[in-house]
Amino acid sequence: MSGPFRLPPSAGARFGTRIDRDEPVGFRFAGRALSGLYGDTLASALLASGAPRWATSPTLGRPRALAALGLEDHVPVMIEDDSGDWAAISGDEIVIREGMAARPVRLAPKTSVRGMIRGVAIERLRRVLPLPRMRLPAPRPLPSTIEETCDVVVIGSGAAGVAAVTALRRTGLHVVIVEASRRPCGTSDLFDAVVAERALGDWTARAAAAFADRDALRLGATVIDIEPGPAVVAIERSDPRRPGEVVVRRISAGAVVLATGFRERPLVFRDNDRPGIIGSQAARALLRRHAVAPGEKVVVATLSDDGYRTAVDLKEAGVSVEMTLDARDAPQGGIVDEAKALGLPLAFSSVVTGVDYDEGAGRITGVRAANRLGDGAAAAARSIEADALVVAGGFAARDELARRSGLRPEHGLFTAFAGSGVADAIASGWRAGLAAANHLFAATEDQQPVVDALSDEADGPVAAYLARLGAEDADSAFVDFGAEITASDIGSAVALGADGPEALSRLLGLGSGLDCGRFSADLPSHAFAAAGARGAPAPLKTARLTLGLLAARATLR
Amino acid sequence: MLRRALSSVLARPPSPARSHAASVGQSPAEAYDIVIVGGGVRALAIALGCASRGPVALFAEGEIAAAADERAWPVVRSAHSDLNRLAAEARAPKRLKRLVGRLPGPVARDAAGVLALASSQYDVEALTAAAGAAKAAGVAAWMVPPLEVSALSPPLGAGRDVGAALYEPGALTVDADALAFALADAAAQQGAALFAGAPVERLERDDLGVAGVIVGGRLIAARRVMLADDFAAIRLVRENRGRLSLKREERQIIVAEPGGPSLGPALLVGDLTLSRDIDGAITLSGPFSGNELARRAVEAAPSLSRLVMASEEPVTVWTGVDGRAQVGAADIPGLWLSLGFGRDALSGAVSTWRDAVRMLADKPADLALAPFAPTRRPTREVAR
Repeated sequence: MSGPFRLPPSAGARFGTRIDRDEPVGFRFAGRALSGLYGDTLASALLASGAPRWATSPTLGRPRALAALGLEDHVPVMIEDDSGDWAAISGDEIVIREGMAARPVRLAPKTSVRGMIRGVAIERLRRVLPLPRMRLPAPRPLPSTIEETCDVVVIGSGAAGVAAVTALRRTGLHVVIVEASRRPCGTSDLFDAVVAERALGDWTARAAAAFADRDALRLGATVIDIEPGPAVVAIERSDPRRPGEVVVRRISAGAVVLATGFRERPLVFRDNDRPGIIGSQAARALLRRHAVAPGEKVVVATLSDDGYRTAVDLKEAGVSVEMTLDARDAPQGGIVDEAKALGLPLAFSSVVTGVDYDEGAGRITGVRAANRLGDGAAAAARSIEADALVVAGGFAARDELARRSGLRPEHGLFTAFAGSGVADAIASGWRAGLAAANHLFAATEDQQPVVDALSDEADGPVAAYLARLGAEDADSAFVDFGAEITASDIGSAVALGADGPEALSRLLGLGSGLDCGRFSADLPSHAFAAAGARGAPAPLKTARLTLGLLAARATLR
Repeated sequence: MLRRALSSVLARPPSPARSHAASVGQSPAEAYDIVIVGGGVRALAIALGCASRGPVALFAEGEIAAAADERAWPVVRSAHSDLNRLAAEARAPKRLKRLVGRLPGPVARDAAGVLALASSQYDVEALTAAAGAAKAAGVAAWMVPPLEVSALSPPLGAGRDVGAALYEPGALTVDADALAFALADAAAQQGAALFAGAPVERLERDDLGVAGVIVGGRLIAARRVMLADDFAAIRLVRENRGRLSLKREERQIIVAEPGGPSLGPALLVGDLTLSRDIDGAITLSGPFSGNELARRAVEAAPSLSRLVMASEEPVTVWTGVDGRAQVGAADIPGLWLSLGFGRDALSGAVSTWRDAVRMLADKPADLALAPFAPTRRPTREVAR
């Protein structure tokens, strides 16, 4: 045990696959001495020790904590004594080690009235008075660059990526996998499926290990662009102890397989950024990998079948699941039956309308829910006592690289975005791998491995939440968490006259947070439509690029 | 929180939110007195000027917001090295202030000034000549020695040896989008009908000249058509076998996130432009790829290497063959032009829109920029 939210060993060996319970590790966060277990990430160790509030949002000063996995999270931290353009990184990407010190990222507020008045006043004075020279940020040397060539680059090492490399296995092509996270295999360990007679997580881990042995697995390499050619440009965090130090790597290839999978949307309701509200996949990852529960009494709110998977896991781990709220009317999927068989309380056509938050304790104390369809007493909000809320808002393809590059199969870019389920991921990854082999005139007679997995039902509509927002709710219903843009901000920007998607994105500063809007997935495009904008915003930025990184990239040719 | 709205609030108290979106969803009427094609600042300013004199409609191909070339260099200045342009735009900052004063919405602007750096002896001579001409035209602009350049603009001084520069302290940096929204708001209040996402397919002609435009397969009759969008103008005029003498230049814009370091005045370094708005968002543009643009900016001012890029966008800039804009009647009767402002799109727009409005009302106007005046000849170099 290393904190109140760590599951006891009696929860089962299935929970806590990555930690060693006999091996405590001491570290410091924001000056506090804490302890975790060997194999913990900074995120899991912090949550286990009951530190729900990690950071304060830069503009609005709202408390924030972990809400999503890996690089998708919008509350980054940094290792003390690390610096550099990419030092801010998710707590889920840092594996703790003895004596490590980390802290939240302190951002200068971008749009505080006071800060701006001060800045403008000093600017004006400087124009008329001989003030001392202003302090300039010290220039940094440009990051170094690496060039590499291979036959096929597979972007993403999750189920789809591994399916693609398996399809390419006997073609004789030189394949390189590029993975943004330090941990390979994506979220494949979070799905109970059997592939080629192995558990899915096991199947992907073996393939990744084989690639790592051949030095063909690039971990911590975030692809920022796919150039025509094709060539993949990635920013690589070469040293896990100093994530801020990066190199620019360009891999020229004959074909590129984009297998970046899907990201889970958050839900839009009042105060949807409170600490204690956590994504469904993140909650399941913490349970399975690190044996950390999001809370003692948990409510699950879902628009998709993924919420049920987490609810079932929570129940099996011995956590009290107070209610599972599904906005859909009559979900019929296999996982729903499993949840029913376990005796989980379910409520259909139900949505979260807000949470009760205890400022002092930094935790939520209750979840308010309402029926989506009824009116009068039937739709009245009811309050459920809980200290954590797991949200699953459906899936959106992580396809910004393909959309931004504009490349197509005839240019050598093959994508695997058939669906968010395991069977779809493996089938589309396999197809993309075969297509890439075909493109390079290589052939294989391998058959796609047999997949045994529950198939998901269709996700519910995001509008089930967005359309319900009242004027007051919209003030704190975030649609871009990192940039702190709420649904009402979008409404007021449209009222200012910015009804075109590009002008609207510029006015809002969409995607300007540390997560580039990744955490919020495609919520802004749904919110734009709800606010009456004339179109959807541009695809997400692929990374937070500095001019220095761009300049380093310019030296590549 | 709205990034730009905050700075606008700071610059002037906000007026109650109105929306020009009044004409959204409505279909255009059968006929207008004047039809304006374009959705940027230059088109909206003309629409505002004409709105009180008769039924006016504006058709924007895309969004009603500042055009890409207006955002690339959102600086209004006077001291161009081209003498005709200097004469036409000598009062540009003042005109912008007066225009903004009339508008209902808030528009953030900042009198940051502008520094045009010389990179060669030839440049120094050209800029010195421009400084002399500016003085004669009553524009406060003068040459400053290298030491003063690095004092005015610390990021440059820290970077390398800088040359002399032409300094114009009165140049304004504006929030081009806010200016466009406020103009649209004012024009809609004056009765102009604005239509976004309504590309003009072609011009309708009769024996006398232009009779209207075709939008969405429908004829919108108009006595006069003003083309205030370079791309639309090139397409429509060429289809009608009219003449336009424009040079094109492909540039790239990089906008950094707000909160960047102070630049001092806006900067012109060779082909590179740098400006910083009141929120601290730095905008770069230049005729290079995005990466090359970043490399050159970091070379000129190394302390900018930590700026985080917010967006990157290509822009095509059109300039008249002799380096000047074309404002006036086209060689097709009933058709009027206001285009080819080049890199200084906003300076051109705010200083010529009133002339354009006067011409549309058949009143005498400044003819220095008339498109097909016999005095206009192609020059070899585009004046900065």
